[in-house]
Parts: sequence; structure tokens; C-alpha cells
Amino acid sequence: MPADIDQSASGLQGWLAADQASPSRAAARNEDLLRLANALLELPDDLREVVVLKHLRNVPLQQIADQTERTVASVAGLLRRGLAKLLVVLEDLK
Amino acid sequence: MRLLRLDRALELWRSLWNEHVVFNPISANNLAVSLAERKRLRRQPKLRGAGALPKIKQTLRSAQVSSSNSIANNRQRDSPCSPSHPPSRTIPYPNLDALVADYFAAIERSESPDRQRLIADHPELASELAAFFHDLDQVQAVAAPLQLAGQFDETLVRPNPLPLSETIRYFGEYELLEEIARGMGVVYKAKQARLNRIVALKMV
Repeated sequence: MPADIDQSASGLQGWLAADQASPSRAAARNEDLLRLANALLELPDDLREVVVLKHLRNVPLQQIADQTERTVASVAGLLRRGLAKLLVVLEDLK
Repeated sequence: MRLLRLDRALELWRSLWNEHVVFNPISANNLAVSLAERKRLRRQPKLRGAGALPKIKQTLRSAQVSSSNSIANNRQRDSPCSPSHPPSRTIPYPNLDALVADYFAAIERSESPDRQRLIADHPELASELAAFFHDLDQVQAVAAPLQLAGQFDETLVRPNPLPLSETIRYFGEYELLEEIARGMGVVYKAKQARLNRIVALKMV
């Protein structure tokens, strides 16, 4: 598992490093990243879980439903509420 | 604007990633533990609330019955001369979340569902659907560059090629026994011949 975390972290660092040529853009991206991470952490657990799985890890809805033992519609409902809430928190963090 | 701290962002990111490792096959053992734990946690409130649920359902049912009775009574009062007032056909209210689920499913099949048409087909949910599409676009604009999708898809969705252990039996002094997990690299259960012990061997 540590390898997995390192992998995501290095992927992230790679992504950040890719924009080194333009410091202002890199800074803007860093800001987005920080805001997103903060906003996600402020979501209730059930909302955060489905939003991260769907929108960051790109897990298909059916698979999220299977793994979280919910119906597809209830996952969709969590996603819908999660997205709305995430935007509100993101706005607050601006 | 607040000062940016990359290490804080990384730390947050790690904690997020850490929380959602359940889908990563590389942590098969953690997966089992984590799922069992989730089930346990989820079951607890259910057990506590188990007695309340049938009661709520019963209450709902009786409420429905009494409201439909009163509607029937009202109708009879309102139109005593036309007892053959046709009962309105019950159209199941199209569930917003079911529509959203269908929309996601279509996107996952690489289709491009027509949003305007969806809204037009369900005018009673127009504002909710419009709000959802707006939120979706906004979040995707922020999240898309950060997607960890490639890693997930490759490890879980792509069918495994012929396991290495079926084509190569030995790697140095290690005898490959079986594939344990696949992530960045591949982890094998192996036997170290010299020390005659079972080890995990990771190919990177």
C-alpha cells in the first residue's frame, strides 16, 4: 500500500512538475489542487467517497454501487449532492 | 489569496488516496479487512433502527391509504352525479437519481446523451437536472486534470495477460508460485530456494 500512495503522490508531483515552464500556471494549478483537496475533506464521508471514486478515480457507477452496497440510483443521488456541496465548499475556499 | 503549501496538498492527497484504497487490487488483504469493517459499521445502525423501519413503513402505508380514501371521498362529494370518474392512471414519478444514474451510465459507455432532450423529456425535473449538469461541468473542470483514472483502469479493468508465473518458473533464486497482486508492478508469491522460505516478490 505504501507503494500505492507513493505512486499517487509521484503521479501528482509529475503532474505538477509538468507545468514548471510556466510558474504562474503551476501556482494556479497548485491552488486548485489544494482547494479541491481541502474541499473534499470537508464533505461528509459518504459524499466524499463517491465523488472521489467517480471523479478522481473514474470508477464506473455500477462498480461503486457494488462495492459500497448501494443501488446505482442511490450512488447517483450521493454524487449529485456531493457535486453540489463540493462546489459550495470550493467557492467558500476561494 | 492564501499561501500555497504543496506539502500540505500532498499530505491531503495522500490521506484521500489512503481512504479509498478499497478498489486497489494491490492491497487485497486491506481490501478484505476494509470491506468487512465497512459492512460491520454499516450494519450497526441498521440493527439499531431495525425495529423502527417496519413501523415507519406501516405509518407511510396507512397515511397513503387514508389520503387516497379522503381523495375518493372528496371526489364522491364533488361529483355525486358522475361516480364513474376515471381514477387517474398512476404514472411512476421519474426518479431524478435514476435519470442521473442513466446519464452517467451512458457517459461511461462513451455515448454523448443529449442533455437538452433529457430536460425536455422531464419538465418536472428541469431545474434539478439543469443544476446537476451545471455542477457536473464545474467539478469536472477542476477534477479532470487530477484524475487518477489511468492507474485504476489499468490495474482493474484491463484483462490480465498470461501470468508470468505460467511462462517463467524461476527468477534468480526465486521460484514463482503465484501472482498475488498487480498494480504499478506485479507481486508474486515466491519461494526463495536458498533459504527455503516463502517471500513476496515485486516486479517493477
